[in-house]
Amino acid sequence: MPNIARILRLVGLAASLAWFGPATLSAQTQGPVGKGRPKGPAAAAPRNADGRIAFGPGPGKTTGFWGGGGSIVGKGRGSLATNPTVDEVPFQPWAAALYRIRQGPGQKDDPHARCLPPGGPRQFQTPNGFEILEIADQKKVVILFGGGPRSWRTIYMDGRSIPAANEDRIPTYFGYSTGKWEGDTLVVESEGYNEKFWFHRGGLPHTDALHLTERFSRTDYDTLKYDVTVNDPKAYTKPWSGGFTVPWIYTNWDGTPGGEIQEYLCQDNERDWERLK
Amino acid sequence: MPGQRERLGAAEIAHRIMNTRLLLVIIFLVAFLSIGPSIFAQEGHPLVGSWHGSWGATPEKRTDITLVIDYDGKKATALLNPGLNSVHIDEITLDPSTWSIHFAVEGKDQSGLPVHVSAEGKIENITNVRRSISGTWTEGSAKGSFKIVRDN
Repeated sequence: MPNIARILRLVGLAASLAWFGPATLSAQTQGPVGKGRPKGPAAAAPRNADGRIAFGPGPGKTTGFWGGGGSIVGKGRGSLATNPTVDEVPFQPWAAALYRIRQGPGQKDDPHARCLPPGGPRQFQTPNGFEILEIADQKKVVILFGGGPRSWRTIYMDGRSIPAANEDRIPTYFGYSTGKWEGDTLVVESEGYNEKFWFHRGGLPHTDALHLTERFSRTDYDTLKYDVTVNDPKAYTKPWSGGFTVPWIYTNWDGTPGGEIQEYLCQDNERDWERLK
Repeated sequence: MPGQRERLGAAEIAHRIMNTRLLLVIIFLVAFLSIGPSIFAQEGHPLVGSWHGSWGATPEKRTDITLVIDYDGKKATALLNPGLNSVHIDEITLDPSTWSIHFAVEGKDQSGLPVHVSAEGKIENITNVRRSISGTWTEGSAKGSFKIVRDN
């Protein structure tokens, strides 16, 4: 009997790996399929009344959202040509070893597969897309995520500083973000992250010392360029940068006209928590 | 008035209980704040966090171990058995190629007397939040196995 129980347990583990591993990775790599894009060259990036680039559909339009992006390491699938290869990432030895394991059997322990929020670049790599909302009168930019636990992130644009690291600053999944405009580029500084998540698909390690400098720009109507500098002296020997582009999605998830993020809650379908623990 | 004395006695007992509770709350808060930054960590440096377990020469005769480990970017340090007889460990070495660890420290035995403590172990189930370390524990002339599991 113990052998049968063990076999059943292994079958269950294999099933959960098949479900949360390759399938999830594949969906995240490709992102939503944006059927319905107008033929011909991409239109220019839309601008708000103040003349600045808009990250939404633009004046007079109400639909569309951003799909899932590529990777900040390596090339291809929307990743920037300037990205470092894995071998060029300045890992500390423990971080390199941990990353290698997370690329293989350790993938089963990805916190995102247990529906925990994806901070850092990971938030732009998840299926179901995201929206970037600029709330000018409140001096905030809010990013709404359709994937994972359907969470949101606030970027303060009122000129405040990131609170100093002390016992009063509670580490969080999305960190504490402040932003400013440099021309048409939104530059966001963030720190104060907890260590309960993988900040990049595939498990790039980070610690509570992580500081991210993210640069968002819109090169044309269909393309968001995301560039991030990773500064975590506890996990990497020096700061390093990478990024990817994100496609604008014109349709609903199922390809029908609309461009609305579907209601999706990871927790609603999470059925393997006990086996993944 | 026996009844009044009885009521005063009850009030006094309640007051003492309140004081005891307050003391316990303060002790808990001090202990919590002293290890707070570590217990939040889970997916960062694999050693960081609070670990609990035991060591001993036989499965029946075990001694509890608590290890609170931190990492400053260069080396891992730890507090062994937080409390009155806690011992600071200046460095826990980690070999990421095998996930093996080692430390040696001048500690205290259960009666508080100085004793040399060392451990050689290996992290198992490295990517899991409930990973463990097991290996050999030496305390003075005594030697045995140990296993500690990381708090979730």
